[in-house]
Formats: sequence, C-alpha cells, structure tokens
Amino acid sequence: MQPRAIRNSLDHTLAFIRDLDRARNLEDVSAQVMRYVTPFGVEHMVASTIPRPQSSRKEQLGHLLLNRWPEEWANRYASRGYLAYDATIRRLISSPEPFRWNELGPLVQDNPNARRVLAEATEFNLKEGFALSLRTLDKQTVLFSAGGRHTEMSSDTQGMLTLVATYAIGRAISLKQENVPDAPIILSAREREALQWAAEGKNDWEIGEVMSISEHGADKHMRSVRAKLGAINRTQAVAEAIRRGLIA
Amino acid sequence: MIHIVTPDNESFYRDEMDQAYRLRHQVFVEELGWTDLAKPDGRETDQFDDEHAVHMLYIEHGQVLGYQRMLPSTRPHLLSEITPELCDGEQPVGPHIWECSRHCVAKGHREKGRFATPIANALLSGIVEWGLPCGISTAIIEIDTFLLLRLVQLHFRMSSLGLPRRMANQDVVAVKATFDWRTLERLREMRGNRRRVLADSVARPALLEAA
Repeated sequence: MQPRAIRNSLDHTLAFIRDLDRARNLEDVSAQVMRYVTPFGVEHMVASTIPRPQSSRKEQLGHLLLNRWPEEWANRYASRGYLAYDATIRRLISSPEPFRWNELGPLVQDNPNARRVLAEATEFNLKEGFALSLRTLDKQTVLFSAGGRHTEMSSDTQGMLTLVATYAIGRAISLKQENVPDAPIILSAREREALQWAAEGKNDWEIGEVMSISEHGADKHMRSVRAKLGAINRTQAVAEAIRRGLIA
Repeated sequence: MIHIVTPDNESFYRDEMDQAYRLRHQVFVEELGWTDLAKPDGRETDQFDDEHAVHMLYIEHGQVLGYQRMLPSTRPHLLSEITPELCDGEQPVGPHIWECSRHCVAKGHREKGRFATPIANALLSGIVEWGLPCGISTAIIEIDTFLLLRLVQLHFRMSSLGLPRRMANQDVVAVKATFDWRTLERLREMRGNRRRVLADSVARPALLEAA
C-alpha cells in the first residue's frame, strides 16, 4: 500500500477501534469485529483463552471472548477432543508471531491427527485465514483466529487486523469481568477474625497474639483468606473483603 | 522503588546508572539480539542519553532490576530519528508527550506471581506518577503487538501511530498511550497497594518542573 492509502485505512481502523468502546456486551464486540473483517473475506472468527486439553464443550464455551465460529464444528471439536491436536494452538503457544493458516501444512505432516483436524475444518469453510496470540495481564494467552473460504489479506491488512483484535479482546475481557457475578465466598469464623485484625493493620505475629494462636497459625488463616479471595497480598485481600461486605 | 535520574542528581547515582547501562546491554543486545547496539564495554548507551533524558530506575537493595528512559517529543527521539517507519502520518509532538524507550526488567525478575511482573507495573506507574503532576499525559511507546493487550487492560487510552512492522524478530507497533488518574488507579489495583512507586529523589529534578 502507498503511504497515503495506509494512513487512510489506518484512520478507518482507528475509528472502528473507538467504536468498540460503545459495545455493551460480548455479542456487540463480535458483531463489530465481523463488520470490520467481512470485506477481507472473513466468514468466521473466534477469540478465546486456552482451555485444558480434555475440557468439555461447556468449559470451552467459558473461555470464549469473541465467537463467530461454526457451531457444528465447535461441537465436534469439543466432543472429539480436537483441542489436543489443533496445530493452530500448538503453533501459537510455541511462538507469538501472527501467521496464516496455510503455513500450518508443514507442521502437521508427521501428525495424522493434527492433519485430520485441519482437513475437517475446511468442511466448515475454514480454509484460509489468519491467527495470532496475545498475552493478558494475568498471564493468560488469548488466541484469535479468523478466516473463510477465500480471504484477501495483505501484510498491511494483517497488521490492522492485529490492532482491531487486540482492542476488541481488551474490550471483551473488561465486559466479561463486569458481567460475572461474584461467586459467594465463605470465610470461617477464624479466618474472618484474622482478616478483621489484618484490616486494622496488625501483622501475623500481632494477630497470633490477639487470637491466642501462633504466628504460623495466623499466617495459615491469612493464606487461606488470600486464596479464597483470589488476592495477591494482604492489602488486596482486605480491600476485596470490604468490597464484598465480608468484614466491616 | 523507582528513582528518577536527571543531570541534577546523576552524581548521586553513578553506580546505579552504570548498572542501568549494563542492564540495557544484557536485555537488548544479549537477550533480544539487537546487535547494532552492542558495545565492547557491555554498556548500552546511545546519542539520546544526553542531558534531556529522564532515566527511571527500579532499584531494590542497591540493585537496578528495571529501567526505562523518557525523552521529550519536542527533541530528537527514537520515533523521529530511528524508527520513523512506525509512524504512518504526522509525528506526535508536544510538551505533554514524552517517549518511553528501553523499558526492561532484569532476567529472573519477570512474571512473578499471578500478574505480570510487579517491576513492569512499577515502571509504568512511574511514568504516570511522574507525568501527571507536571502536565505530561501521553507516552509514545514502541511495543511488541503480543504485549499491546496489557497496556489496553491497564486503562492506557491507546491510539496506534502506524501499522505493526517486523523489526528484529518482533512485530512492533508505535502507540500513543494517554493516561490519567484512572490509569493510576488501575495500576494500583493490579499491584495490590496504593503506595507511591517514585522514591523521593536525592535532588529534585528541576527539568520536570520546567516541563
């Protein structure tokens, strides 16, 4: 592309990205991304964190961020455990560089299962496409893959698609976090007491003293509290417990 | 904590700056293979390490474990001199825009705990804590596209300056990352505490007051 053409399509891309802020739910984000990618021949796309290899369809659904993947293919993929043989995932985990699906051919030569997954995907119009991976703040890998029967993607287009996918996934993650209701957390009476003292600024030794237990015992309660609240440290545990109304 | 080193206080940070240049060499030349930057003495320095540069050092027990450098966009900087191809269009310039370069964390101190390294968080928090009081709201950052999502998640408002380009085995994109107190809140939330990351400087960097 000529510099002027690049600037124009970049402006178009940036306008698209700004519109992602208006998305109210994951469905809006998927629809917005599809509007962007359809002109390049993309018919299907998916963005997901990586599920365990043996996970059920239900579990795999929980990992989805953006979804315009053929449903029948997704069901077959889950029920036959194709995740374990998916060359796309293997390739993205080994190197973060974006790639075209057709680059996978040589990687699956010696692996009949992996070859079969790629071949069956073409029955669902997943023939040509593009995939990339991103790293989240909590160190998860997000895969993004998009394609169709015939795609037209220059390297510039791939670059723009990388930007759109990144912002769309960022938006999707934040919408998903907003929408998840807090799972109930139950602290034992001792854990709550230890946390209440921690909230008042006492260290493990002091907590042990007031609760008539060892420093080690106080530490054990606090560890368990942190694990239950998903907190990385004491301050975060206290903040989270106050937010949830577990302590005053 | 993050220590800010400028010409006003660099005499107090001789040893730490020496460590910082070594860290840059270890990360960028030896690990990332940017051989153009290799120096026989194992200290990576360039023409931008002049009196206008603001060095941010993450120091723990006398050890420099993290580093980044801020350059004013109103003077020659990497995007204007070294990698203009990352900007498709006009270069962003203004007193409120500074470029962050050579951001690095020492090997063995990355990816600790559940979240991305606390040192990288401290360095980014350093930009925001330092920038906000002196009217700096935007950083130019050249980043691997693989890691771009993290900045989005940290509530930096991002605008790409150009398309990602392949450079030294990485897909790199230049972005304008605008920040405000919400970014600071988010960084604190991810870090799990509200303490300031900037150390009280040995000497007050006058340059910041002028900026």
